[in-house]
Amino acid sequence: MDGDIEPDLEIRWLDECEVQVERDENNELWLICDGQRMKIGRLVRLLPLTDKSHYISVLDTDGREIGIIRDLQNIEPASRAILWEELERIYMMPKIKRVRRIRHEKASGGMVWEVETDIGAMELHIPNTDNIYKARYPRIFIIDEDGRRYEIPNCDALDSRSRRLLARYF
Amino acid sequence: MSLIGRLISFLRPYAWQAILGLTLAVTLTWLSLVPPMLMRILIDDAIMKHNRVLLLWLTIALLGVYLASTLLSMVRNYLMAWLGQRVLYDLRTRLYEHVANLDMSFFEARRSGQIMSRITGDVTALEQFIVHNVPSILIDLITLVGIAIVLFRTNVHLALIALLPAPLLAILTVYYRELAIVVYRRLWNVIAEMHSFLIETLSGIKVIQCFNQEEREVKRFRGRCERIVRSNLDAARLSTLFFPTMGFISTFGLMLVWWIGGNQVLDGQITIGVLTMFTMYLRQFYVPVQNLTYLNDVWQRTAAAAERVFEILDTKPEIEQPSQPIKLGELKGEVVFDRVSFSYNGNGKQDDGALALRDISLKVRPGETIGIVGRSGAGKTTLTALVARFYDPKEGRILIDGHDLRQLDLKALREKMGVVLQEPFLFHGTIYENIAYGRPNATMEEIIKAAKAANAHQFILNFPDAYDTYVGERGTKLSGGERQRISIARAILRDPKILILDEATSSVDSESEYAIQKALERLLKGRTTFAIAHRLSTLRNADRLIVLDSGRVVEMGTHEELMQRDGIYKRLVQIQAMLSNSLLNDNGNGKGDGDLDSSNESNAHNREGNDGSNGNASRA
Repeated sequence: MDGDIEPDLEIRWLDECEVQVERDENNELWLICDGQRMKIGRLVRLLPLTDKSHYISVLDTDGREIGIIRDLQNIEPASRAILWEELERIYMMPKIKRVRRIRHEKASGGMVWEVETDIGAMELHIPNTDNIYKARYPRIFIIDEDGRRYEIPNCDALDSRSRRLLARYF
Repeated sequence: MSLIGRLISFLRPYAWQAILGLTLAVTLTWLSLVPPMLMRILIDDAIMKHNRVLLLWLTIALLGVYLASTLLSMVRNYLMAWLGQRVLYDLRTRLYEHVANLDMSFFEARRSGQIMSRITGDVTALEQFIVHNVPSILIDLITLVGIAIVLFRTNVHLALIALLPAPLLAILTVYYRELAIVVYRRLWNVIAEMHSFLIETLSGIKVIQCFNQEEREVKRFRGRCERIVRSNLDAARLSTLFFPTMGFISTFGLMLVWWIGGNQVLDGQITIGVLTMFTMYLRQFYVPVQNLTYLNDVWQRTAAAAERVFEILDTKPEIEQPSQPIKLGELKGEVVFDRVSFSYNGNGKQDDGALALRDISLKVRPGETIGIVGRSGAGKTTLTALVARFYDPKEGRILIDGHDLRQLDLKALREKMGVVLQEPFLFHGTIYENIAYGRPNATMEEIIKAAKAANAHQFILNFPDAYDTYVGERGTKLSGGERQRISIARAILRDPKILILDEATSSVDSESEYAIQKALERLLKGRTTFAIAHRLSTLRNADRLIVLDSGRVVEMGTHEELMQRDGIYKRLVQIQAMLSNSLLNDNGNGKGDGDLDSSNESNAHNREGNDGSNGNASRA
């Protein structure tokens, strides 16, 4: 495989060098790798739903990929804490603990879920059932009409009323 | 093996459960024969003789019998449901496994809706028969024999009267069977037609809406639904005439027994307890009689469903694995066409006009890129389909590394092949899963590398869920260019030695095409490649070009060599250049370079992540 891909297409694994991450007074993140100091434009989890702590792509301010962190465990603790905090901020995904009510909106054909999450009560406006991802059942992902993501970590472990309300969707 | 024997053979893996279910059913049947006997004693010996102790014991005994029946019924019903689901699972998976291994000619001859109907509806009909109807026949027969013995032993005269309607029931059943075959076959056909129609129109919904043909399609759908309604009503008319008539004839026998038996009670020939027992048994007797007449209807449906299911199971793939396949080691990738002719309709020898390929001889060196050019219907795709062994040549042979394709291990051969089609097919899953489709055990590192080589990694990063992004059914949440790059990444990851590119860049815009061309250049390195393209500019770098016309190779050489001849290739290039210039003149702007297609790169997905954050970030 390796021989088929040109050298510039090779992956630069950041955890193979002495990588450090700093946060400056403007709350900007900086990456120091092999003596180079670069401003981080974006952090991207390559597998945000299935593997949160591996394969983190680090992009510069022009959107070019600086490299990929294979495993956050390979990063020194202080830098890891900064990265983790930033990633959790970017990928904040409320966890649904209880479904109180589901209303169907005749006009739009969508539905409104009244739920309790780990960050409080919410109303989710869901355009249609395609926005309910069941491929990793019993772990369910929901995307509301604004593209925000929510997670039911285990829909079988919900209380009986919630399960009854959700039964027609799963 | 008979049809019934073949159906029952599906119970073989669950023989013990089936025997237990049957034993429970027989026990329940015998238990159902007890209450009328107890009723006779209860009326004649307890009530008529004022024996309260006996009355109490008989009531307790009746209660015990009913309780035992209830409990055993629960166990049996669950066991039958379990057995039904296992048989259904086996039938469905066996049928799908068989279908998945059939070759292209099978799918070309059938509409997918019909195949779906067989895997869903017909299989359920067979499960119903195997698990529910077969035991029910045995139970009904046991009930009939058991009750008949009791009836004849109790009163021969009355028993004979009770059986009077039987010949009429048999004649009517035979008549009904003849009519039912026609009606149910027609019903199945119209339902299968509707399935096919739905699959076709739902997958082509964009075309329907673009051409404003919604009303027409709804009208066509209504037509199909009306045919289903008519066919169902035909079936209902037949059933509503037949079954109540059968019921009435059976009841007529019961009325005769009441009349004659009642007179016998009044004459003191039998007791009232005996008459009550007789009529109770008779009610139980007519239930299995009616069931057995319904069975005919069930059997008609089952036989029709079995015919269709076994037709598939008995279809042998035309492309078969050789009995002693040659195992290829490291493939070099030399492909030789040795006087190959092919026809889609049977044997092409008899009808030369039906040949899709005629007498093709061609030697492709390992790692060589062959551009295939020609008008629509010239045989370009057919040629590549033969390399992948979707079909076998009718005449001649194809050799890979010196071995006849028909002698090679089919699975091993296809493992060495990669295909990138004009309309890449993505499965409903994540980008990760789609890239890894041909190599499910690939590491994340290999997947990222393949995506980078396919110029896909960068756009994947812009999706909020990156490699975990769901692509939608057939990849509809991605644009055409993105789908194509995912399919190239999939091919790169498979690391094929022989590659088939069938119009891989024709349905994308110029920007995507550039990215795809670059990706393809990387993919092509070191692989024997057959590339089909109408946009001739994309084939300029091919080592050799072959021009097909009506299934024959009419020109062969490099781009420069072919341009020096006054042949089809030169004319095609000139036409494309002319059209391209004309577009440039008309629009003052254009793609040029023989690029005739405009694209419909759609913004099929919502890229809320383009601002560098996940959809949630803005809210956070």
